[in-house]
Amino acid sequence: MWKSTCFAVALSLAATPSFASDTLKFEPDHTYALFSYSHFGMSRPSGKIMGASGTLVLDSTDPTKDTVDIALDMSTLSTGLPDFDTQLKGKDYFDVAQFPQATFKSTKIEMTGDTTANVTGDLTIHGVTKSVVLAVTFNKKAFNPAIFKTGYGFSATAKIGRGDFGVSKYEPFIGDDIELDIAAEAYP
Amino acid sequence: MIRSFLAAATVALALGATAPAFATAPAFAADTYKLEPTHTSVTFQWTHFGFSHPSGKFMNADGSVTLDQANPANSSVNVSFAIAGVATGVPALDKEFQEAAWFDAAKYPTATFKSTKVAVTGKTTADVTGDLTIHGVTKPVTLHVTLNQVGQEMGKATAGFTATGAINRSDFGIGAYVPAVSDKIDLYIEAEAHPAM
Repeated sequence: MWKSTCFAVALSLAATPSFASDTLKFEPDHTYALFSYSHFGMSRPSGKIMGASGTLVLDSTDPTKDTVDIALDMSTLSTGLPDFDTQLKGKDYFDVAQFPQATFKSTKIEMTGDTTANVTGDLTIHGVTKSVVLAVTFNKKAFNPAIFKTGYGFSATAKIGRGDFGVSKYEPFIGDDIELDIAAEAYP
Repeated sequence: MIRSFLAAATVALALGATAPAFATAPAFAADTYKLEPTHTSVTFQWTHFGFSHPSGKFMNADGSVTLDQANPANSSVNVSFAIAGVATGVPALDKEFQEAAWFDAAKYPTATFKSTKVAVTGKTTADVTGDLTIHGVTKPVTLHVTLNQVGQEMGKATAGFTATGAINRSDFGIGAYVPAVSDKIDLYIEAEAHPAM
């Protein structure tokens, strides 16, 4: 897939899309949320959730009117340890059978710099919704020759408490504080 | 395994079993530790056309650390990761990374790092230079290592480390799609190790 998208460049030089709409779709192969936590202060294990779907609506004049509505597919959770993935998807943690998606819907955007903003929104994990602030950096708007579309790239960070979302197994031995590192690409 | 470890540790704590565990803790003088495969990771991150920073991870480390706390410059590390275990979160990409255009795992099934020099840079930090072998190519690389903690983790002697470094993948003969997919790869390493039996 990776290879084929790159090679598709050569084949699709005539197919420029129009930009009538400011509604972009998140690109699932380059959008993820990486979570990490402290393991007894010894190390920071991490896992990644992908499978993004959803939209980013960009206002052509006022970025504080942009909106984000994204869902991640919890079944994609990967830590690099397949057995641990199965545990984390099970009832003791994310209970993915019952809560297959994590979602974020923005409610407020405050610019904090030329390319940075605090995006407040409703984050739903494990069926529990809490207001969370994402510190977002806009990395780039450019033509992506691999898919022949002009797209947008973002990075974001956030801190949440997993207990707030009812995922508190083994607290306090395994920390409550979860750091999120988010990457996103969005295209028309 | 993680669950049973945690369950055992929780029970041990509940029973007040930490004191005897501390009493039997080994001495920490040039001890040899075995890296714990489930809590040792190498995360590698690149830039995708400048849009985003995708990443992948290797787990299941096979290796050891010799930690000389009295004379840290005498410490050493020797570790190997199986390329087959790569996890990017994109199964198709995990598969593609095994192919000849990338890691060529059939020919070069492991990546290894063997330290050659430890230069202490602070109370808990050191620059660890070593021979990194990926894709059959060996280059010297310096990792900036922080010793997070040496102590007890649920009654088990543990040393925890974090390290960072950067390499150019083309140096290792993995130059596909440079520069659209960046040549520079940032490395973020987490490690836990327990005294070798």
